[in-house]
Amino acid sequence: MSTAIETMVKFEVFRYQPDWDEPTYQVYDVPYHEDWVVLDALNYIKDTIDGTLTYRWSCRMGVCGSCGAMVNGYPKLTCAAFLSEYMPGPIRVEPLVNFNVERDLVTNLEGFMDKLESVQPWIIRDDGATDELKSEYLQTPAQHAVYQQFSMCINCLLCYAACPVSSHSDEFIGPAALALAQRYNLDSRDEGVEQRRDVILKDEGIWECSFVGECSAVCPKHVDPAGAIQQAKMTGAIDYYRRLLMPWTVKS
Amino acid sequence: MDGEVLTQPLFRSLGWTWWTKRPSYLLVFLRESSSVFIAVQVVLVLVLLHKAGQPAADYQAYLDFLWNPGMVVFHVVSIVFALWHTYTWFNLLPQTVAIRIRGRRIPGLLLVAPQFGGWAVVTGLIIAWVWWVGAA
Repeated sequence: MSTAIETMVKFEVFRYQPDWDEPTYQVYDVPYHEDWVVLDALNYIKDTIDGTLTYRWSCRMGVCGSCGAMVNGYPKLTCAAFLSEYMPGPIRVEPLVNFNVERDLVTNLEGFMDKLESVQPWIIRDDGATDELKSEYLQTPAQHAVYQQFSMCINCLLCYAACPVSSHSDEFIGPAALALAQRYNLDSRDEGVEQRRDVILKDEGIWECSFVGECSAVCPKHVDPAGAIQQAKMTGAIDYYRRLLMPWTVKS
Repeated sequence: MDGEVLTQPLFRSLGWTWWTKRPSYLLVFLRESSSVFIAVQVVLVLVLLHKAGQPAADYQAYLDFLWNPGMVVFHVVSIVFALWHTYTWFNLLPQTVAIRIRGRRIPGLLLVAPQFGGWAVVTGLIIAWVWWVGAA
């Protein structure tokens, strides 16, 4: 019989239910395993200590983007945050900031979904083939490479939790949605730049971004939303002067 | 309550002290704050130009004002802020401009290095010109 003493790590988990006045932090002792991530610890808590703990997760391999949370104050995918990085603890887990909290670690994503839809993140064709593609739209590897980085977004929303502008402006379209708008604007098969123009260029669009850059720093897929937004600003500025100085070159 | 479930949205933000919460935020905050010092510097230079057209006593009084210890400290802080703003801004260019040659994005260094090189050349020319005017 083994007599080894198991190393324990203290978890301080944010708890909140809609009928509570105030959130609270609940402390759980979780056995430390070198190969465990924060999501493993949350699953351990739910399975063996407290079945009422609520959080989202699915793939546990950094693909689905649903397990984002603040881990010791930083937005992280809990499936990619190894306990060893936070030892000896304690490890504080909270819901992503800049979103309404539904319950415990679960946030309300409706506002984001509206913003995402507003930039029409899909291929738009002048020939009206948005819903049903009418033919093949070929693309070279070089054309694909232009937008490939921005297409890696998994909508985990860590970028919104890292963004001070999103923190103070509910209307700001935000990093992920603007990066996806730029992704489609750069796609050689897309013809929807004009349709996205007003949403992207309005005050709550790219110009509200003050280039803090933390969205790119926390992005687990290296999308670089800050870069996408600045590149859209550059395109927008050039487009403004083209319309002003050479209006005959603008497609009506 | 007759079974009614209270639902109150709980919004948690970074708050107005967001810039104190991470070193990276603080560095960005300092970068943006530098514009205040640079704006004041521009005003001081514009007043200096105006004073240059005034009687010599007025001009000298303004120069004395610029050399008082408080203003010297302000100038030192301003130059540190200006250097920080320039350094950070030059380094951000590769994120802002995506230039591709033969389908491949050019390395960021090729965008950053010419800026620092140009900055050094222009600074050298200005120092040489000031030295030359002073010696003449």
